[in-house]
Amino acid sequence: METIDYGIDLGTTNSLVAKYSKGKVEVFKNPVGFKETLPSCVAFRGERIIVGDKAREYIVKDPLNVFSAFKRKMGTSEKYLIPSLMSYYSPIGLSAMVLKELKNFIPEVQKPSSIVITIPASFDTVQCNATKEAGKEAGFEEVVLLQEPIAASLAFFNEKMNDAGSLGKWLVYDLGGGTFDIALITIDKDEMRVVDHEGDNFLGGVDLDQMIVTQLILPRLKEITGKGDIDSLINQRNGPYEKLYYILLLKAEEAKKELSINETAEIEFTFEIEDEPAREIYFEITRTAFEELIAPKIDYTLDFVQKIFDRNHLSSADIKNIILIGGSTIIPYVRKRIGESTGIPVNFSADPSTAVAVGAAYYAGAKIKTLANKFSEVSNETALERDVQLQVAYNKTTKDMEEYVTALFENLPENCTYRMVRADGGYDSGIKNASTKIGEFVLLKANAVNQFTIKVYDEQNNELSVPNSKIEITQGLFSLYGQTLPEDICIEVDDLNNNTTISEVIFVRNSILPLKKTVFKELSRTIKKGSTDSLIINILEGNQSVHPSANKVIGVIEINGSMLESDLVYGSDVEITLEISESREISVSAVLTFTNQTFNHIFNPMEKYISITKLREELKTLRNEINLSIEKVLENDDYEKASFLNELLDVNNTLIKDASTLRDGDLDERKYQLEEQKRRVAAQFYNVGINNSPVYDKKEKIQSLKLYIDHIMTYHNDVPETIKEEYNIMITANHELMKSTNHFQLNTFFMKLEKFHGKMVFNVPSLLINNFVYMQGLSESDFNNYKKVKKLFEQGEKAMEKSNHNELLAICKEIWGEMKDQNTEIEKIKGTGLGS
Amino acid sequence: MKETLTIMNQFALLELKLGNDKDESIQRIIQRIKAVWEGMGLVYQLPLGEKYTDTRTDVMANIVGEMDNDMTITQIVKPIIYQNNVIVQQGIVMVEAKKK
Repeated sequence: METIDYGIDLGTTNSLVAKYSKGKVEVFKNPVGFKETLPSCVAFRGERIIVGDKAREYIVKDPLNVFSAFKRKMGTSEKYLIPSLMSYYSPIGLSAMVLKELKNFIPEVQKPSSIVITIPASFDTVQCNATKEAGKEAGFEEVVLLQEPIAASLAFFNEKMNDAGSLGKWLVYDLGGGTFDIALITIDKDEMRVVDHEGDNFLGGVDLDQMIVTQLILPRLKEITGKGDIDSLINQRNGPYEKLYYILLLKAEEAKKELSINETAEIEFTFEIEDEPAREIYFEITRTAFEELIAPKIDYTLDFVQKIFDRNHLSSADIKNIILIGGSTIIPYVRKRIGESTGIPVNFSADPSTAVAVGAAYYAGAKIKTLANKFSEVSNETALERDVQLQVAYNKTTKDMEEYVTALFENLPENCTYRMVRADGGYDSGIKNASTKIGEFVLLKANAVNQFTIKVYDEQNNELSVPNSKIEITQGLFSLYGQTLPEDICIEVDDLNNNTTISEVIFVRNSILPLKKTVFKELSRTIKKGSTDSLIINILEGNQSVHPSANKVIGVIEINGSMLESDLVYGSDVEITLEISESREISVSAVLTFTNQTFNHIFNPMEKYISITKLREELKTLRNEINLSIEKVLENDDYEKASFLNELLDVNNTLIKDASTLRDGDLDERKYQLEEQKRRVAAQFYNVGINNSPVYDKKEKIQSLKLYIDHIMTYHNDVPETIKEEYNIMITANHELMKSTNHFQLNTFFMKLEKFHGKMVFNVPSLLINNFVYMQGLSESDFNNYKKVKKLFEQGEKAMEKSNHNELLAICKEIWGEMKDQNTEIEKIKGTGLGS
Repeated sequence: MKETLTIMNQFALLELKLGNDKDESIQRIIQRIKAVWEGMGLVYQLPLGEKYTDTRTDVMANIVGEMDNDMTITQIVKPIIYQNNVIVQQGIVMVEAKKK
């Protein structure tokens, strides 16, 4: 049997949508702006309907066409006149728009037909039916209602409904952005029920922000500026301080959050009014002042608690816990004051901002659907009959910051709407009625390929499948034909940890010419003034994920010791600016910040630049890499591949011999021939199987280290929780990175993982013991001073007997210091001098 | 991530406060720091002076004074931040009608 799984918190101020799956709840984020909350606000701007944050922007300036808090009017006969449309909307219609917008938060593949929507405990039958109607109007076929305090309790109890300790009476205290509610609930074996409730529809976080502005900030501002009229003029529409008022509200909200963590918060802004020079204002407000300010408001909410106690003949002793929800309950004073005043244990373990939506999703996860898959079957049948066709006309490339897009629809069902959105979240046309022909000016991001989707919705806000609905418009300065780069342009940088160099991409394939970019690199070794050593800036064309030697060299700047005004110190910065013109002329400028020297070079793509030093170096690197690969394939008994690699190695060795006879200033073409032959060998080598590419290799290393760490996390029961948490955060944050083909990013992640592994060995006793035992099994030749190591092994044994983790750790550190470097036999490359 | 965004917000405001006539070495340091973030896929944008319409969802606007069809971003409270070419923080801006 299928469960509903999706829950919506349809709030007075903000709304959210969440989904239950396999014991966990996910709160969906707005694809525009990535916030979990959607302001329950609808604006009508001409023929355009805007829902959420954008709508809220117009509350003050266009109040006649912007609607919020309509939840309070659910179930009444009140109609809202929309002057721009000269028509009326009911609270149900406006709520349906919020619900439709929330539906857009859910990824396309999952659109639900059944939903749980939360309602205040105070809602009567008519208001409940109105909420159900809004759900139906938004395209949900089955709507199940759930009271908000119950939802909050479910989020708190998570799945511990049968926990005997939870049975009894509870209070749910909900102080949100704009409203306050308190509910008394009882929990027994079979049931969770709202017994009584109270509330104030006009008290919330916004009121606290305003109090900060008027009572904490303005008096100080008056003192500092001497402007006595600020209080009376500050919130005057179109008044002299209007801009300042909005800034102060934002500053107050930030300060309120800051004071939840710190004892003081900084208020810093520019005081700017017409005809006067701007002044920088700075002062601090303290947590004590803030707490004194809000104390009466919090005491006022406690009066409601008392009312509930009186009506139900209860005392604090009868209540198990108070669950705190709503964003404003994050304030430490609120938590403290409620606990102290009532004497009831205060519980704020659920996220106060999302608790209602999360609880609704938990409930939905256990609620069986009565409409099993009906919706999807119907839509599949009808979709075939009435596929909407779309033809779009637009300029694919432009220099303008906006572009007109026209579209023609065929087979468009009646009462459809459409909206156009930009993939990066920077443009949204809003919801508009669709007709056979539509037109929109879309806004473009500068110097980028802008991807747009034209989404079409039926009357119930189900998105219709429309072919050709994705378009791309490239904004930037380019010639009529918009020439693109045929291959990646990279610079070669050192990867000394792996004794190789890598291609670091500067411009990716298909970027539009002309291009310019500045990158900063650190020197990977010191280059002495007057020495023959040199810094090599090697510009490559080809594929960023292969070794530099397999890419074409299109320009080299070689800065040798004789050109330096002083030593170029390890770690100092090199600023490299690369510019490619429309005619593919490449200009490179390198600024050595340490010596303050600039080197400029223009490369013509008709000429070839070959550095003999570089060529020799690359051939040597290639020899190392082929040797390593031969060892690797032989381990897997792949003799066919090994034989091929041996042939490549022979060719490469011949090239090394030939290259050793080259001299600077040779007039013949030998160096070009050798360079070309080297590139072919490298290309063949890296094409043997992608397994040999540095990127694949790095991914393989990451994967196997990750599997190893996962194993430790699962099977070692002495891993501290903090270590587990750190690992989870690191893996979640870098999840997308595994798809990357950027060697640099992969390498950085690999190093992070290695470092983390080291930290684990330090912090997990069983792992340290494993490591110690492993080292005991190594042979004498693996250590520099085996006599010393042998003694340390004996001491380590004793430390293990005593279970002295710290002592064993100190001993292990000494043993690690005596281990021989495994890579000493491999000939170290010199590299380019540019660090990665 | 939250901490990185906070640092970027403060840094962007610092860049704004320094204005256009920055010393070349200061400009270089600013570009150096921005390049590090860019390497992490993070880019901030300061849309000061740009045109504003209600279809711009890269910023949250506070409209000051009378509304008009020709609105401009006149002050930035927070920059727009992109991560891998997708907006992760909408900018917070003041918007005013262009002075006629």
